[in-house]
Amino acid sequence: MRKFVIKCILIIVPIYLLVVSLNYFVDPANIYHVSVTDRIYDYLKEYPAVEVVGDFDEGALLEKRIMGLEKSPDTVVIGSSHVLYVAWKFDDFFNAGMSGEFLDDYYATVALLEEYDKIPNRVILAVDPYIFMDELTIRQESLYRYAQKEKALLSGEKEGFHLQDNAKYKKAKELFSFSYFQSSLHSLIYGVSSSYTNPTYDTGIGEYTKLLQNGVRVPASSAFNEVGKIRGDAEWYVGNGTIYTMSDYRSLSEKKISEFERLIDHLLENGVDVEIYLPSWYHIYYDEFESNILFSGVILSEEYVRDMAKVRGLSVHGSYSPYVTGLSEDSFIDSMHIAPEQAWENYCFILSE
Amino acid sequence: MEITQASFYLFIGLSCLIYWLIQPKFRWYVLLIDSVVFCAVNSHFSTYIFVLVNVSSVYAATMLFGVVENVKAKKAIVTVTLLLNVGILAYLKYLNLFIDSINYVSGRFGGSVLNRVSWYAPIGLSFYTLTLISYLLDTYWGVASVEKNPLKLLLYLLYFPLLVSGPILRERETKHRLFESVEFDHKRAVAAVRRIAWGLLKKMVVADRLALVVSFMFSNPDLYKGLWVLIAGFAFIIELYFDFSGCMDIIIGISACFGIELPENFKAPFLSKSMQEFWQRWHITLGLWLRDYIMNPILKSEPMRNLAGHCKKAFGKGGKKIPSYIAMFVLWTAMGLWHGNSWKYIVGEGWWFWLIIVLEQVLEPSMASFRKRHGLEGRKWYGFLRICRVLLLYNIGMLFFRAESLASSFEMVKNIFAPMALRSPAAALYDNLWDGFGGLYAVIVVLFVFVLQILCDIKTYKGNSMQETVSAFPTPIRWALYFILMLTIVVFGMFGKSAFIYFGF
Repeated sequence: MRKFVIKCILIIVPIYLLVVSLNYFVDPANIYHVSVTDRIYDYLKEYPAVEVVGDFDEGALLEKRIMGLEKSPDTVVIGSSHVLYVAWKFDDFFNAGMSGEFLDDYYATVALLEEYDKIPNRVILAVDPYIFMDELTIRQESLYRYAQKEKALLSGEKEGFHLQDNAKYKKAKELFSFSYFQSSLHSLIYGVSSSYTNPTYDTGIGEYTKLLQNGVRVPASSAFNEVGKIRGDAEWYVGNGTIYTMSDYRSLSEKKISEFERLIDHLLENGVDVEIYLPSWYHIYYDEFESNILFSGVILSEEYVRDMAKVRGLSVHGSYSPYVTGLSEDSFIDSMHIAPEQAWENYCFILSE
Repeated sequence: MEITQASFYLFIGLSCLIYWLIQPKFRWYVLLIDSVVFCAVNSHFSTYIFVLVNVSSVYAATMLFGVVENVKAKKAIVTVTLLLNVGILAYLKYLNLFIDSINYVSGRFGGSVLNRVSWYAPIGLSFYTLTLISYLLDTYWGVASVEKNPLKLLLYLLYFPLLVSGPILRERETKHRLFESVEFDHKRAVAAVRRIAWGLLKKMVVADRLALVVSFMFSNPDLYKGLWVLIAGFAFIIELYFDFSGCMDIIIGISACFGIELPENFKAPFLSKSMQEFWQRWHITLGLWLRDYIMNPILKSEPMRNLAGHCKKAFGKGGKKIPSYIAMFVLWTAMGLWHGNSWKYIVGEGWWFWLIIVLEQVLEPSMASFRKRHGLEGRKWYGFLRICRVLLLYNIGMLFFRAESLASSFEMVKNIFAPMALRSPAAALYDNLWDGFGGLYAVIVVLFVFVLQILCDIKTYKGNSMQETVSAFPTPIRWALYFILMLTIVVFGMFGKSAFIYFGF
């Protein structure tokens, strides 16, 4: 048996050594090297937006940005990539959006604002329907401890009960991850795609431009995809039965609803004005939400949010339905996101109210 | 805990170490603990009660066989226990089929609609229920001994590798293997690990990549018409074969790590020359179970024996086979039902194959004389044509398996005869899937593994084993192959993508 165990070790150890070293040194998502986060932060201090092609720890960046705020902003917007396209041209406006936020990410953001004493006068919560799905908890692992702390506080549990830093364990685990190894290998062979450029103001065309990876400079607000491609993508996802994280979403989680309401009530109790924004979904997706029972949770989410807001006297802007908000297919840059200029318009409208 | 996750192999490695280090008489306790842990981790806690009822009812029934002398009482015990266990299976798995059927009929008459239900079922419910029925009936018929230790019975029913996707055990041939005291065998352990790695390669590199192609083609029926439907179906049966047989390789390999040999479930099915032969080589243990516990009891029953006599009188020698066709119809209906709670399975996985096999049997005398008359017997090209015919017929049946519903299955079959475009469907595949599939390198690797599997199947068909061939290689070449195999999985495997198709049956 000893011979067999030694043989297994001789095969497994070199392979894991290769996996661990490549994951650590190539590190395409910058899990173990924070330099990219620092550099993005530095850009954001000077420029209104930055195009980041590569992956990075958005949670760490948000913490750094909130920590670096000189004073509490007037308005903070919290939400997924549906809010990330709002350029930061507003005075006293802080965009705390992060990719694909789940409910615990909202908690983490509020926790960070409290931790660094930057509670704003107004919070705009961009509510995506999937935040009421039971199985989705947190997207930004590095903010896990903040989310747990805030949830423990608001639910009346002892402070610190959940304060274990899960991020360290997750980071260590990722070292042994084969899928991360594949990304590392891809980055090693095809080049790390973490280049990013800051948009610069082009007086010629009168707006900000950015440099794409192929060297072409385009307007920062330009649409990335044509309608045909977007439609094709959307049809493909619908055909596969999964739209973003949703595939069988028929009812809202009671637990998530009570957590969501607890967070809103907490903000209201602390004198923060809360407004709700419902980002519109692409037409093909919304048609599917309306017609397919497997996505009925989306429709229920909007109904619930409106009822909840009515009870608390909160303003609700937008709608998941692009037909209600009057968006055309041209208003989208891909099948998941409205174009920056459209986002800009929406937020000007919200902030002017 | 999925069997493609690294954590599962850590669990297996630790269990194996403990298993082989402790005294042989205590080893089965390790398997029992592993099985309970595996079952608990993969099942919702609300389902434990069903497992307990299943196991305790069968235990109680078999213990009563030893006490009760009266034949009628024994029959009543076995009937009640069977009804209870099949009832649990039907309740958890088939209630929606019943509701859908009621809704369909009542909808025709403008009746009210019942709501579908949704609840948890224990992992491997279909697999362990069949094992349990096998044990109950074998002890009732007296062809197997009663297990007096309830914990041993629990292990037999919930032996964890089997909960994933079978194979389905029949008491008369397998139970004792779990409790046999065997010595650690280095050759067997190496072969087991090799088999696990090969199974992972088949599942994660080939099946999961093909799943992307299949999913895309099946979700765009307007684009893929004519021959494309058959290509999509062919891609699906290859995916299914690599998925299911890969899963079996892993399960049989894991069991062999504990020194327990499990029955094979696949023996080169795609080289079969008739549909009957195909089903003797595909999901073998399910076929044998259905034969032993459904078809044979029906054929041996009094009414069927009487019917055979009547048919022989009425239709001559050929009429003798009519009862067996009826029994086969029940068998194939059960086969369809076992695959899922939808009519598409009953029609596509059941009745379609029943029809083909009955036709094969009816036409076989004429076909045999045709072959003899034209000297086709033994000709390779003719054998190849017969293989293609089986693949085509199997392909059509599996369109029902993969389609969304019975209606869309018929739509797909109809689409086979629709006019087809050539370039745009191919371009759509390339545009949408090339990158996701992994590009040229991935295509090369998938094709290479596919060819290797064909070679393995040819060896198996001839009664040889690829394991022996690999064992005979010089050590450096063997080790190089091990590293290439492992690296291919690590580099080209699709991690965290999907569960096995038969997982959760």
